[in-house]
Amino acid sequence: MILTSGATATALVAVVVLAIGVAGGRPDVAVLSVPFLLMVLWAGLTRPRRPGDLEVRATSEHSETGKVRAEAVLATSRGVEAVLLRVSTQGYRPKEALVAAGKERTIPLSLETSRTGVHDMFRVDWMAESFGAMLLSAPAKAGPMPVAVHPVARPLKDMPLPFRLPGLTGTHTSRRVGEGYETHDVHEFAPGDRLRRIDWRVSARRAIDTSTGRLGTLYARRTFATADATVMIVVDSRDDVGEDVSAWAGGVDVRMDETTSLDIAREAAAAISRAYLDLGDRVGLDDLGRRRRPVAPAAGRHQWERIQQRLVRVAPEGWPDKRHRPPQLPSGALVVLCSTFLDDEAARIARQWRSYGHRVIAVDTLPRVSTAFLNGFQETALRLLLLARRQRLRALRRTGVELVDWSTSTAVELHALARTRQRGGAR
Amino acid sequence: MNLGSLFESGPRRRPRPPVAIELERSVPAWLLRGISAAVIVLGLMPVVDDVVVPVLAAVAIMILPHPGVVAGLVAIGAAWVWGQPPDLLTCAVFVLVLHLVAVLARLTAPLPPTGRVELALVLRALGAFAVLQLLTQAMVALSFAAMAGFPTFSWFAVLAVAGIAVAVFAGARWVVRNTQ
Repeated sequence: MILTSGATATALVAVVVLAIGVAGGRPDVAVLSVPFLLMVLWAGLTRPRRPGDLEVRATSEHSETGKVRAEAVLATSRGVEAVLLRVSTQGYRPKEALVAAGKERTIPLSLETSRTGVHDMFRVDWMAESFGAMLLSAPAKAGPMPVAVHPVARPLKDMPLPFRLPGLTGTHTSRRVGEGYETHDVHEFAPGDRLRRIDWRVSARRAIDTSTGRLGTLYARRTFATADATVMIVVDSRDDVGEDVSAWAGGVDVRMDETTSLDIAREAAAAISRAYLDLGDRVGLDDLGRRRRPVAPAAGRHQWERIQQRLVRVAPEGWPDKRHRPPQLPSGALVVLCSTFLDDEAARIARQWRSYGHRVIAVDTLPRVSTAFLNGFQETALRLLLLARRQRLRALRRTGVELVDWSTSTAVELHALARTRQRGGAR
Repeated sequence: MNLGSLFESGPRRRPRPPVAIELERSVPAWLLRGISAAVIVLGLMPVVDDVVVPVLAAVAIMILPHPGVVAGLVAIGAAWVWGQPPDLLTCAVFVLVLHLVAVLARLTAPLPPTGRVELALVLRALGAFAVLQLLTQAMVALSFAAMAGFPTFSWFAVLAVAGIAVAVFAGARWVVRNTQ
């Protein structure tokens, strides 16, 4: 802890005023310096040896898009009266506050964000003050700490299904004959049919011999088997573009209160995977931008947690090599590809999956763009880029890939897709 | 540097969102700066019978509430009091105003105007201010009594009272510290 320059200047002026007042026989002048001299004297007497500690901790809350919280835990030494805090996060205006010191106190910190993913947040620079800022400690730093902001999984009702349901049990009605609820047909009782499946009414109507009154052939009711779907969600993490097009090339920070394409992709992937998992289906996750093992399709609550953990860590990583073959997927899986389709790579892979017989749903994650800060050349370039993208999406649609724009009425579009009867062969 | 760009009326970027320090009760630093300025203007204007100097001092403390500025104000105040015949009210008001401005400046000096000061800290500082003021105003009264030539009061008595006051203050602080 050191005496500040301002306090030193005040002390010097006070001593000079006291000296002049005493020398000149003017106690009314000398007494002007008394409060300042007392303050300096007191600062020297109560000088703390060390300032204390400050630590930034995450709250136990699960951080989601919206308000993100943390807390600064402050433990100061005896003699420290106040602590000057400056809390900052990249993309935010820093905030300063002077707070009272204490043995151990917790100061809540928060910020509003529209972004998801892992971000370094809540850097706290602090200085301990003693006796009204006359004594200051050297500046110290705590944080920033990585905060995983999870996307909010909004509820979706009707979900499209793959062309084939290869599972053996589940909630969807497949085209196979087996245990289920929807009637397939009524046929003659055969080995393998369960006794409780015998339709006595039909048997009585068709097989009773009226002359003898004896029952001939028995008839059994067959049902469609129920099955679960396998859904593979693929996120294209190669680019992460925001609403402000002038920031696409770098050099300008992407705003933290605006969503980027990757935030939309995370939100879409979370909502879709949650909806399928709630239906009891098996969901997996892969990343087009990284060569790493995908989250293999599975069902259940733990799978939701696995997908959440992987999703929140999806981020652009350099410039990945071009994939010569699309990632391998389970047979008959429904593919949901979340991408901006700003280049051919994602569209090419989607077409290949479709040609292998998968049902492919392309989720367009490009946010509504703002051209406010573009010059004429940049606007022309953007127009050409969006034109090429539009043509790419049209070509995708022609090859049988279904499109959903996540920024508009997603639930309605997914509902329409769920009602669409599309055969696997119709490519 | 392209000076023309300064005069272009293009679209402006929205300010970045702020980080929040969630204090239960706090006051903005600009309010404390305003109070400092108001104290200078309202306190000193009737005493010095001038408008320009108190207003300039208020503006200075509003823009830069640094202890160095307070030191300058103390020097100017002492010079003004030196140039006038001794007056109890003038001296008491100067002691009060300069001390209060110093206390508020020390709370706001490290903060920008948008910063916040915890109310508990302001109250604690005002408590210490009140104690020091009581002692100092007592010394003002004693010093004027000494100047009036009362036989029981002398410079030695003033210094003795100051020493006792410091001891009492230190004792009170020690008690407060050890009963937290």
